[in-house]
Amino acid sequence: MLPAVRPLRFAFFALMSLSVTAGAQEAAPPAPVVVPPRLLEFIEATYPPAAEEAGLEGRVLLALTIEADGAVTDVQVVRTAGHGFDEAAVEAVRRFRFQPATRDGEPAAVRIQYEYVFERRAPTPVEPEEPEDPRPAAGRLEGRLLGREDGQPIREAEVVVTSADGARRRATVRQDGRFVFDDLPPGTYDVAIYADDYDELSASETVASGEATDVTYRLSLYEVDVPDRSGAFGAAAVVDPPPREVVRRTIRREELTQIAGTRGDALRAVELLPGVGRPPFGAGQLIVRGAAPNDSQTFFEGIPVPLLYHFGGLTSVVNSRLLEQIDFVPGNFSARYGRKTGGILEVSFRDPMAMYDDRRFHGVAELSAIDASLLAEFPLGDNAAMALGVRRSTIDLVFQYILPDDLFSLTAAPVYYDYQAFVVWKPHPRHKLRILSYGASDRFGLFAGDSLSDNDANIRGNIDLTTRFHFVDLAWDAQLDARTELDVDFQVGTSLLQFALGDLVRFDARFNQTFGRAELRHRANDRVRLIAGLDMFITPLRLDFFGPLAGQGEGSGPQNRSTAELRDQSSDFSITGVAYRPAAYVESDLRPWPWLQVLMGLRLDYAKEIRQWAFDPRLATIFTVSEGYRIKAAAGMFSQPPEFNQSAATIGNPNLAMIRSSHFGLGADAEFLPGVRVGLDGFYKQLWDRVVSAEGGRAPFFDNAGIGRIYGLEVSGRVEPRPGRNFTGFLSYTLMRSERQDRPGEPWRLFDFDQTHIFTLAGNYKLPRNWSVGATLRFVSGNPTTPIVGSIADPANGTYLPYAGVINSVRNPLFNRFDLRIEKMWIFSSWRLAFFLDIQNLWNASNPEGLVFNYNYSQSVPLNGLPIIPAIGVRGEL
Amino acid sequence: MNRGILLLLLLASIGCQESVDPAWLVTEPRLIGLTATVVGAEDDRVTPRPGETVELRLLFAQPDASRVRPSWGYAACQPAVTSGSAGCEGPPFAFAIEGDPELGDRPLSITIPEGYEAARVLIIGAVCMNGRINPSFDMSAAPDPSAICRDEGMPQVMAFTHPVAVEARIENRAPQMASITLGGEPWTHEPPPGAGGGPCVGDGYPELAMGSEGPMIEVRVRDGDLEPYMTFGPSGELEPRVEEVFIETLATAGTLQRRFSFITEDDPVADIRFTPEDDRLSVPAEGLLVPVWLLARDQRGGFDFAIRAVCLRP
Repeated sequence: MLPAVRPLRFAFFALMSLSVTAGAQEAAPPAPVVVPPRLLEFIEATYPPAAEEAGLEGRVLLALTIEADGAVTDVQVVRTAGHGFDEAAVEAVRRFRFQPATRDGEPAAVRIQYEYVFERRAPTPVEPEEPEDPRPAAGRLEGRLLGREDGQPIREAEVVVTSADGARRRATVRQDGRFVFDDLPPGTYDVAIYADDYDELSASETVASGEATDVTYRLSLYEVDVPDRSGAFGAAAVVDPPPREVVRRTIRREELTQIAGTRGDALRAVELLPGVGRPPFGAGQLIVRGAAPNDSQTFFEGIPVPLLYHFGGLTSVVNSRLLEQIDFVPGNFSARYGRKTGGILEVSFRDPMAMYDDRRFHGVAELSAIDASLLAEFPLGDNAAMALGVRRSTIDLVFQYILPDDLFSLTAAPVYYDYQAFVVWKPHPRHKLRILSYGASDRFGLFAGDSLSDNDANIRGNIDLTTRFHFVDLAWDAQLDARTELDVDFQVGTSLLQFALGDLVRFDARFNQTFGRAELRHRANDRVRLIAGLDMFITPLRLDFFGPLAGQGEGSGPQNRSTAELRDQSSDFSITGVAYRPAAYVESDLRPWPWLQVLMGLRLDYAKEIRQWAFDPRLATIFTVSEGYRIKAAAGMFSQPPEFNQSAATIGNPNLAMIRSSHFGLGADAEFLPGVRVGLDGFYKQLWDRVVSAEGGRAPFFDNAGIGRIYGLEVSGRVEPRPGRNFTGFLSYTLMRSERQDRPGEPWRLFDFDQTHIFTLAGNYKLPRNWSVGATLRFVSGNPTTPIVGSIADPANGTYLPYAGVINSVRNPLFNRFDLRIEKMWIFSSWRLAFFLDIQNLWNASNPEGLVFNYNYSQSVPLNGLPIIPAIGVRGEL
Repeated sequence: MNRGILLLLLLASIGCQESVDPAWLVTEPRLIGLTATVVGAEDDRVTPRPGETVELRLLFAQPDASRVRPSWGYAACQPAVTSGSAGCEGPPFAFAIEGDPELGDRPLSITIPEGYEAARVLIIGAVCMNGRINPSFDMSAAPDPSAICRDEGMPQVMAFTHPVAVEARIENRAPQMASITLGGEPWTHEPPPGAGGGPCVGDGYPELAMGSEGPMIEVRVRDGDLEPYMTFGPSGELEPRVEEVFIETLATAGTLQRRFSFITEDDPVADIRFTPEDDRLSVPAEGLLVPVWLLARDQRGGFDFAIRAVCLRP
């Protein structure tokens, strides 16, 4: 007797067209004959017990790399189904065996997409017991054919099944696309499907005694104009470009949104990765391998964005549910990226509707004490879809109860919003067009009638901080032929930064950012891939500033000029101009032997505002010692233009040179157990031509006299999701030293955010009944700080200023924090409801970030970091 | 450090600042201000013209009967435009060291050179509150603070600027506190020198019972003290302004609402609540005489000060 719920039913399909041999263009050389891989051995996945108990079904879309020997060497989840389906599908597919794809008759490695379908099966009616038959009971193979592009049933097709002994049976599909083979002896069958206008599809299915196997096949339209599809079996027309760095930490949204202490914000979890420093007060700055925040860059789909987080790092500026993955490159990044000497954070967005296997409206609403958000996704015809997201802070409604009434009156504090509108249109299987519109705004304001500070009468009036950006990106991804891909991205938008501190400082910067990138990737053969690209940063800008001259920020110690003095020396300037920064780059990805990959890159940058060129060669090699074990080495040069205010003629030095850096890296990684990975990476970075304050802080106020050195070791460990494994997590540890020398002959000093030890342990455990609990433990060395050895009196203004000792010669105490996250989800027939509690700093560690002094700096008490912050939220998913 | 962090630090410090002594509480000898007098000026002008001499007299507050006996040294120069620490543009044109604490209350005397063109003069110096200054210390270089005073601990380093009337239109006169009231009543009660922290000796001091509702201190300046003036604006051009006077209030006990208050054209009264509460002390039966210092600055070198006293009762 069959159980009421069958553990598994499956279906598979190759999502894209298979072999295409005709229709080569006239001028093109004869296209190779490509035959897709064929599934030889199907492994049945374990139906996740919790999902089975809850009566859930799921479809997991996977990307498989199938080597020339037919082995599956890499499986990535493209579209998750959650509830343990992903892990079960990955575990099973890893054990699949394929007849390899061939190109001109030679086995070749390819990458395909595969959908693993988990379906409950209705119990088979109990038949009256028959007299025992010595032969095993026959089984049944039934299923349906759907068009991959439109999801509609395919009505005219023939399905052929061939048993192991060569016996062949045929069936014609019905009008609803279904077919049935009854009375099949148990065994494995080759299934071939022939349909007019569709690619032929082959599969292998197992029929069990007395059971019915139900499958769904999705066929792709046959494309007569495609000359060559070698290596391009995928739902998207364009094969994802392989990584071009030796240390690229890719983390997927599904893993990151469960990390405690982030409130489900995937981008906040970036701060927990190896090599990433901890900003004070969780302020949301990206401190990568001892580099200043301004030395690293965040990209959205290859396009730089000015901000990653809202004010104070409360949350990121984009809804995490729209993310596909995050690639973090702490150093030695590809020639694709430039104008920075630190690290790179590349954020990729998923296509709208990609999480869902139907074509109806979906929505998510979330409310917490910090903010509220809405996200909607819906199809636009057959080949397009749209996602709309919006979020607004709610903390400003709470904030007014926090500040003392008699001290401040709030004007706006802190208010933020962000929005995203994404449209993806696939007019052709080989072309994808995207329009991404996104923006964010933050405003924080305080008003104090008298003095804001009892230590300085001149700090009075409004404090106002406003940041805002609005961008529209247009992107075209195309596969020009079987070996050539083209990405074209264009961005226009505006960004604004305003800051005012009473009548002391007013700063207003407006950028009309235009960024364009064109990248061509060509695979000459299996061993050589060439990449060439152009990118252009053109930004008309206007800077209006009133206030004291800004000096070198990092490493300058405490302020030792009274605000009255600074006001007397304030300058008022306005800069208008166009920042024009073009760049060109080439890269080669060579694989002379299967165990060796060599990546060579060259990048040429120009910065018009300082009339400087930079030429940066880069090299990376990866040795595959054995399956799962790699050794990596890299070296390269990197350049970064000075900040605009540093190179402006009136307040800075237009004759500055590019800031330069060289990166060296050596590391290894291994997968000791399935889904258990560890890595060890050492790095050394050298900095020169750093922009520092000129001698005595006098005109032209800045020069390139600074140098620096950073070295360290990163240890990473990761437990990835696996069937039957309820625990996932990661460990990261960084041992590092980051030092600077500001002028020749001066002693070396520590970088402002030098953190010797950075340790993070994060994990998440899935409990029955859709409960999950996660925890994050973090220990980080305190930031360096400058001791105050006395004070400087200004009796004319009644103030005292700190008399600083040796810059960054002492440290704040060790930072430690324990975060806890508990989530419970209720699943209804057409929607889900989740409740979460995310507690930052559960044990309320004080974590001093510095000292608070009395009027003349003779007394001090610790300036504590963020206290325990519980965030309660509720989320509904339609 | 970006401005967001600065803002966070400011907010955090606001929340934590009560952990140290409040800035208005005088617990030790303290340099609180200076008066300026232009030698030979026929009025209370405080801005010297090139060629004139200005005398700057340092003022100290002390919480008890002790007396500050300072020695000091200074150098005066034209301030440099820098993005860093205060520094001189060229060599100092005036400097002096007064090493005798018995003579330490004499003023710093600075003669502005003829032809001086800068709008301000920078004074860099150090004060040894109760001891002798090292006569060889050099203020033109960043000195080691521990080597400045010979027979006591750390000195009080000072750096400030004083305006120079390089044009007649930017001359300034000192403000004067014309009215000081406590709880709406005229407050004229000056304590005897060194009486702070002692019992309420003598009659007439306003008396406040500990824990009672605190009265308001109200300060007004003379009509015309909020002078219109011209100043060099950020663009280098002379711009019209009207003075604002800020009142600094200091005390040795009790609780002041805040340290700084402002007198402006729109708000001609500076009011500060003095509350007879103080967790740091117990008031004896004979009462506690609390000196209150009131300092007025017009932010252009003009300065006035007054000392008043109140008697706290248990």
